[in-house]
Amino acid sequence: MNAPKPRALKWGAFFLLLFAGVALLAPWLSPQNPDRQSLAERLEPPSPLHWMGTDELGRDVASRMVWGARVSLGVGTAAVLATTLIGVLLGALAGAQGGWVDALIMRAVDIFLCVPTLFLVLALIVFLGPGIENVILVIALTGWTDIARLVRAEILSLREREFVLAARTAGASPWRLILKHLLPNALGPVYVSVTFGLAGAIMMEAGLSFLGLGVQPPTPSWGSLLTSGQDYLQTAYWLTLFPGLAICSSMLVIYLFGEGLREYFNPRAAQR
Amino acid sequence: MALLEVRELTKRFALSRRKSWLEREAVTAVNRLSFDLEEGRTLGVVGESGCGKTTLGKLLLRLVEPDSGGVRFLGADWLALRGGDLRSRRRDMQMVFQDPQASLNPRMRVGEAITEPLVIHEGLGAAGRARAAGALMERVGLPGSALRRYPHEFSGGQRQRLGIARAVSTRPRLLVADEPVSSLDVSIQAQILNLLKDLQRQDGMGMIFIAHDLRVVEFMSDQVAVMYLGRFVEQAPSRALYTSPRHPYTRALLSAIPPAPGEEPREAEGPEGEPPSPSAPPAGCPFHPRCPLKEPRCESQAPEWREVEPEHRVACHLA
Amino acid sequence: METLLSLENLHVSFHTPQGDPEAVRGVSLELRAGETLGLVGESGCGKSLTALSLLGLLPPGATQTQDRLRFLDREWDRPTPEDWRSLRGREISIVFQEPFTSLNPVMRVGEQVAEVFRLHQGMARQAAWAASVEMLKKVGIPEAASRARQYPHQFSGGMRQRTLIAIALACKPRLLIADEPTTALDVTVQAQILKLLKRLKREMGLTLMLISHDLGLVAQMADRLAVMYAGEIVEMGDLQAVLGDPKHPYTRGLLACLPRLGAQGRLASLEGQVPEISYLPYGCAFHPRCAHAFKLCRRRDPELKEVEGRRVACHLYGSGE
Repeated sequence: MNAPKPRALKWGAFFLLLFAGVALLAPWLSPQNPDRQSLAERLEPPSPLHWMGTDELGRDVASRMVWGARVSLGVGTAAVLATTLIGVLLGALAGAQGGWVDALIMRAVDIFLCVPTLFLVLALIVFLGPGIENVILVIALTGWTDIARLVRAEILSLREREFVLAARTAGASPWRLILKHLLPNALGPVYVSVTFGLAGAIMMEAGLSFLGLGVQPPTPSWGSLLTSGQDYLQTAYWLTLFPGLAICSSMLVIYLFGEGLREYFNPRAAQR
Repeated sequence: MALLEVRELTKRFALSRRKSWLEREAVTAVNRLSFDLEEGRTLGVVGESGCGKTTLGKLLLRLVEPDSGGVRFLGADWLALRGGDLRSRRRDMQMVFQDPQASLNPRMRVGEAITEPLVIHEGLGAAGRARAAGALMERVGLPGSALRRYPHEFSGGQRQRLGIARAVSTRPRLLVADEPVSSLDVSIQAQILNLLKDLQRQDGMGMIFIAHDLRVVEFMSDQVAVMYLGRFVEQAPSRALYTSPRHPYTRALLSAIPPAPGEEPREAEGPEGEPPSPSAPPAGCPFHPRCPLKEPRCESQAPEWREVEPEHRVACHLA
Repeated sequence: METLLSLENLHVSFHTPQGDPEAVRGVSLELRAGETLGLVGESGCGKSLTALSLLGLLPPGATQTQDRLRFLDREWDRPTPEDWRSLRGREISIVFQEPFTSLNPVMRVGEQVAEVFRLHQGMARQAAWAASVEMLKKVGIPEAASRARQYPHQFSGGMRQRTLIAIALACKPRLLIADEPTTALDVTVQAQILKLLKRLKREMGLTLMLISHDLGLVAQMADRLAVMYAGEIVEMGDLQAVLGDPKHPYTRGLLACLPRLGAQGRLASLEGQVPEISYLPYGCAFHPRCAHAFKLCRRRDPELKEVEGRRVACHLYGSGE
């Protein structure tokens, strides 16, 4: 744990914080009101006044991008936190308890795994209706299985380790075993998986919003910005270029950070 | 009254391989073991890998549940304890593990790790904990200034001292030590063995000392039991076992130790062959395929566990 | 006696971002044809690295330099990878500690021995198989012809170690290095393997370098003994001389802390810890644990000097006048 921090981790964290900063400080960073329409300024290309141009209603794209970051990253983060919470809880329970609890949880995982995720997501969202809260809920409900399996596997192998046996002979209660001995040592790979999960969740939100099943206009998100730009692909490239770039670069940054984390927790495996 | 009384203790493990479709293959890791241990005394258990000695340790600690047999500890039925009752009695029986690297939680500061049993059993607060940690470190010969470090910052020998500190923190009546020095360097082994002996004398603990190294076992133990394929084949006071072994396997084991420099030189001779797989133990006496003195009855009839001299028990037709 | 191998001033260092600590610091040794040299020391003393550098098999990140490596009347001061390949297996072979991971689990045991004959001696498939069975017989595998058709998991630990010895000796090397060959085995099996090594050494005229942490084991096998500590040889000489009357305080300490049968009371013990190579004490690496250390020991690392028929690196014996 005293290994030097890998470079990927440092740069990944730096850019990730940058993205997060933009999202959090949107009210101050946004050059203009993202919802202010100005029919006189429709579909203007990037200029010193509108760095990223304006859309078909004359709204400032840069401002909508900044606010969109808030929605996209926010939804992604919330969804991944919910995913992790469910996954860690059920995975730890299955691994530490074993027996029928384990069997029940793992069969549930199997069921989720054998239905294609996309189908499940679309079915759920159609059933629940579009909207930010539902997007978060749907991503969490479909994403927890990976984390649960990961945590369970880690805990199963930790359970036979001598320090856990030592804690048992010391008279530690099941809760103490889970919270003090099993979980803290099982979480390393979970952090890595959560990072990649964040990328997945942001993509999922962008995809759903693009299909019109996610965040509803006029609320901007990177996915919904892409949708509104698609009619003008040939005449107003800036409407799709900037949201596309934002999604793309956020993915790269998250993966960079995730790789760094992986290297940090498992330096040897990462060298191969 | 004995500190520990073990009667006919048996543990079978099912294997994933199947004998037929209804029945899985099983290994009898511990086969009807019976022995007593007096307060403050040490029973050494020696045997080769796979003989069941580690399982015996885990059974005593209730880390694994036996299939049959009985254990009385401190005058009470140890196997009848359940849940919270068991957890609260665990303070009286503690364990020192083989791998000092693996027996400490890598994410716990060592001060926290060695006092965890005290926090569980006595609900120590922060101040009491710090005081206890300092005292424990001193008992095992480590600097009190190291309490805030993590296990990986210590060497193997130091980590074993930490494991021992944790095990003796609740002043247990019985300490089970499973190969506590086999992963340590020779020059460190002696330090740890001396430490265990000192602590035992100070607290008057009973000890079950499990190891494969006959020299180490002899040094530590009052009584020694030799284990083969899940059973005791011989048990005797240490001196008697090493000077006049009765079981052919014990003799073979003793002759296989290379003489230490300074001891009378002789060729190390072992028995022929290797221990058979515990999942298919030979019929009759488990040692007969390797025994130089084998007779026809050894192949069919399992020898009884009997006392041939006071405190000297053997399972062999010929002893 | 003819000198088979001589090594002068071997250094092995590891490249790390924090510097290049040395794990072997100036080891020189000679092997005479037909003898058994025991190399003894605790973990991290550099005994295995010394052996591996005789075969050019150091792990990645480690670099070796030596002033001289002479083997069989040829100088190999800066051996190329081709040089190593021509030596390895043919002239020098090694048997490792781990009989459980050193064999290919999906290949028949006989094939694995036969492979050596095919690769190194260009034998045809059938001839190689026959030679393989012969070799397995030689290392004491019962019913070798049918056993050769089995897979490693069907072999016990002792039989796997025998197989590895067969592979190592297939090309009739001059020098066999055995690195903790019995550490992973049970006591009774250990005795069998040692007996086997003794017999093969006699039959094949081998020179043996036996590396172990176990003084008792080495005492049984070796003609000469070299004791290593923190990357250096601290005492080297005839077995009887060194064990009968050890001169270096470390050798003495090691001998004293072995539990002896019938001993009572406390064990003599060497206090302190084995130092890490990146934090070696200044001067003699052993001085923090040495009961006889004096001023000079803290200042200068002693060199190996001739003392009463063996070589010792200790200031207690004629400190540079």
